[in-house]
This record gives sequence, C-alpha cells and structure tokens, in this order.
Amino acid sequence: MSLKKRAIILTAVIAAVTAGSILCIIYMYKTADTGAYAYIYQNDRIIQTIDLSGTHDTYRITVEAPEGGYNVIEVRQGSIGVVEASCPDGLCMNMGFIDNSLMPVTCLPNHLVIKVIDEEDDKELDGVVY
Amino acid sequence: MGIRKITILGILTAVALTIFMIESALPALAPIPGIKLGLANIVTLFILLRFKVMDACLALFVRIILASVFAGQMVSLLYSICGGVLSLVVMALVNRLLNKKFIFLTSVFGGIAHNTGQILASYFVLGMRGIFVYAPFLIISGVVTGMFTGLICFYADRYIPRFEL
Repeated sequence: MSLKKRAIILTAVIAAVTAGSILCIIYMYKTADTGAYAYIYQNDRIIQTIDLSGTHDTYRITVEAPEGGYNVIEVRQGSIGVVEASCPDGLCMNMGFIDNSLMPVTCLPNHLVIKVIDEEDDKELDGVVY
Repeated sequence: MGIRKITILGILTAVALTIFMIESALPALAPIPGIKLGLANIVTLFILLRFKVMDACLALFVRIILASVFAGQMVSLLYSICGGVLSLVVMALVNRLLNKKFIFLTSVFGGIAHNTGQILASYFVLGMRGIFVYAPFLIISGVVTGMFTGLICFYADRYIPRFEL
C-alpha cells in the first residue's frame, strides 16, 4: 500500500473517531436527566445521597479522603458542587455546580465523584444517608 | 550507551521536563479532568522521528518519573504512565506505518491514545464506569491538541539541524 493511501486511511480513522465522539456528546446532552438526587462516591462506594429538590437552605459538607485530602461540597436547592478542596489542580472546583446527569463532578486526587440522578436508587447504600 | 547519546537524551528529557512544568503551572483549559495541551509530547515525538523507539521510551519514562517527583503528586504518576505508554506505542506504530512522514497524523493518534490511556487508568483507580462519560470530550481534545503538538514538532524537525546519536 502506498504511503499516501495509508495516510488517507489513517485520516479517515481520525475523522470517524471524532465524528463518533461528537455524536456521543450530542446524544448525552439529549438524554441528560434533570436530576433530583445527588450521589457522592468515594473509591466507587456511595458515601452519601442527598435529595437536592428537598434542599431549601444552602449548606456545606466536608468529605475527608482516606489518603488525607478533603473536599468541601456545597449543597444548594437543585444543584451541587465543590467549593473547596485540597487537590493541587482545583479542577473539581472549576467544574462548578451541576444539576443534571450529563457530567459528574470528579476529583481524581481525592477519588471523589459526585453524580446527579433523577430518581432515588436505594441499592448499595453504605454510609450516612440524609 | 555512549556518552554522546546519554547527553543528548538527557538534554531532550530536560527540555520535555521544563515544558511539562511550565504547562502544569498554567490554568486548566477546560473543567474536565485530563484535558491539557500535552506539549511535552513534542519532545517524545521529536525523538521518535529522529531516533529509535527505545530512545523515546527512555526519555519518556525519565520525564514522567521526574515530573511526578517535582510536581509532588504520586497519584498522577499512574495516569501519566498509562497515557504516556499507550501514546508511545500507538505513535511508534503509526510512525512506522507512515515511514516517518505526516507527523500530524502520528501526533493526533498519540493524543487520542494518551487520553484513552488516562481514562482507562482512572477507571482502574476509581473503578467507576461513570468516568467514561468524559471519553468523547477527551478524544476530541486529544485530536485538537495532537494537531497542535504535531504542528510544533513538524517545525522543530525542520529547523533543528540533524545530528547523530
């Protein structure tokens, strides 16, 4: 196979992967739930679930990571986000407040994930439940 | 390994490390974990283009280990190694396939592979399938940043005089 042909095939592969990703993102936007429940995971275990629609006063909770870090999570009516964290990049704070299932807030250094889901799923709860 | 080779690879690794440290001091491009320019990849690509795969591998590992020592984040070591190794393997294959031409394509594949490797690493660390929602965003970012680093490497290769290891 000539070099030019190979280059064209590889370009087509890149175009296909990019198009696939764009379609995926569009699909995710279309199917995102407007969430009512926030799930806080640490090391893939749900450590807390919060009913966001039932929250009227803004409050903060602190989640300590077993490795020594911490994240301060602010719960508002209908949304949730990280306002203070020990991680060096602060990405979890920059992700802002989420109110739907499209994108979870993640803090990789502290192994923390906050997801918003539209219904309560009461399996595998182990920890404090508000 | 001769002194000349050690010196040249050492200098290139130092360049990569410097680029990496400056880049990590810049604020994040987008509020999605893992999206960054990946400018240090320019050096890996350059070594791959001029020398052998093993030389690029050596420089990559030294850079990753030193970077996580300087940045003081052992967590990022696993992500960097997974992303870096997958990216190097893919780039080496594509580069061979393209006979060291069309560095743009090699670089874009490297970018995609790097971000895929990081997602897989974070899946193994966190064990959450939910992490894959970031995948399409990271793949697109890999394509864009790959083009950018490919462009820089193309000009670097053009203007840096040829030298032997």
